[in-house]
Amino acid sequence: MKKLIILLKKDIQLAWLDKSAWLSAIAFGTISIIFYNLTIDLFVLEVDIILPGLLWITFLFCSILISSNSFTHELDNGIIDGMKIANVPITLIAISKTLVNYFFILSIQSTLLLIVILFFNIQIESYYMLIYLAFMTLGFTSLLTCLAPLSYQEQSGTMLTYIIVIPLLIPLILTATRVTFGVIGTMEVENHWIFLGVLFSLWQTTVSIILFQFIIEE
Amino acid sequence: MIKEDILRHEHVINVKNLGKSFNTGMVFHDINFHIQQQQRIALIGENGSGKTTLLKILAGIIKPTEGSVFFNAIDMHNMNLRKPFFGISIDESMLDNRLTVIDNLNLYCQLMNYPQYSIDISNLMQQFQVTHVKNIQLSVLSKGIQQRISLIRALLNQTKQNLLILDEPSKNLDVKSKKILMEKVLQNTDSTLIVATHDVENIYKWASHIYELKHGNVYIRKV
Repeated sequence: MKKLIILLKKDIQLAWLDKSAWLSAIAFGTISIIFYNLTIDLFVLEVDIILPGLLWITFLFCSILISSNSFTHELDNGIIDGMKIANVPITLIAISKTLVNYFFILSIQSTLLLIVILFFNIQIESYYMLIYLAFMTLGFTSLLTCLAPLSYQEQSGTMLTYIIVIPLLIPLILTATRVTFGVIGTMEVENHWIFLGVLFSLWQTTVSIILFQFIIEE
Repeated sequence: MIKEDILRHEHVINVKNLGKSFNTGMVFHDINFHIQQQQRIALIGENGSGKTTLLKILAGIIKPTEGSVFFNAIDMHNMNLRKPFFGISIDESMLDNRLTVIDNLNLYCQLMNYPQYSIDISNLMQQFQVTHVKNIQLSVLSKGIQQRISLIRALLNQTKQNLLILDEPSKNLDVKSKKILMEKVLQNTDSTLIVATHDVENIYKWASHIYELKHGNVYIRKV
């Protein structure tokens, strides 16, 4: 636990110092929403029907921007090897990085949601469902973070990572989109969607963190 | 405690049938040797002979293609085992360029659960004459200074170290720093020392054995 706190402090400090990742994610998200507002709103009367899907695709690419370079510095300078020598469990490195990315991705999602509310004049009908969405984001983040070293190790790694990661995220994006319909009150959300979303998230978080040590070892 | 355990064992490091291949080809094959406590090994060989690869395998950083490395009966490549404590300085600094010098060293000591590390850090920084850069981000420092910081990290907590692995430690160092490094290394008589070097002329001043990597094999001779 002590080592996790030390790693968390370090990762938060470095993520804050390296502004490029989260600033580019915010810029990309904001521009996308403005673009949706300028184009789609003019032609589609019931924007609520397509908005959750668009929003989650935007969240996906914002998350990729934040998490894709999570381990570039660590792998470049042999920092993970240094941690292994200091007997830091590899899973702790994954948990710390995932939690820090989760914090930044969740903050960006909240900011973008506020922008969407402002631009599309929609209302949050069900606040408690936001908790489920936040939990689904954890599964989303852990998979993107823990598979990020793949893009570093392979020659065509970046492409390979997204070929692997995006299909794995489809069930989670689908359930999250369904739950978002419930959040903005477009339609009622059946409980099985929430159950599936939470289950996928839990499964992906666990598997990603377990897989991380094998990715690093290889 | 670990050190006492090790003294009971004759061989600190046991290398059995070790081999390593990359996509580009085989580096070495079927290497067998053992290193005893307090031996001072100079690892020599031409560029590309596999010195750094061998050191990384001994340290448990990269996995061998075949064979195994035991450090005091602990398999260095078993992920589930707690590794013995040792100091290491290789071509990769193992330091974060985005952090300051002092933050890097503090972080490493905290992760190692090293008590009262501040005094040790401050002494080593003084000896290697890098105190003036302690609050500077590592990325803006010269290669020579970065090498000194990497050596400080490797030499921290020497009393607890069983093994010190250095890969061309004098690379990028000025004469004065080389001298300090030599003094520090010779001071620590309890640890086993493995140094990969091209500085063949000076080996005889400190090494007890020379291990030469040639054509994928290790040739051992006593100094």
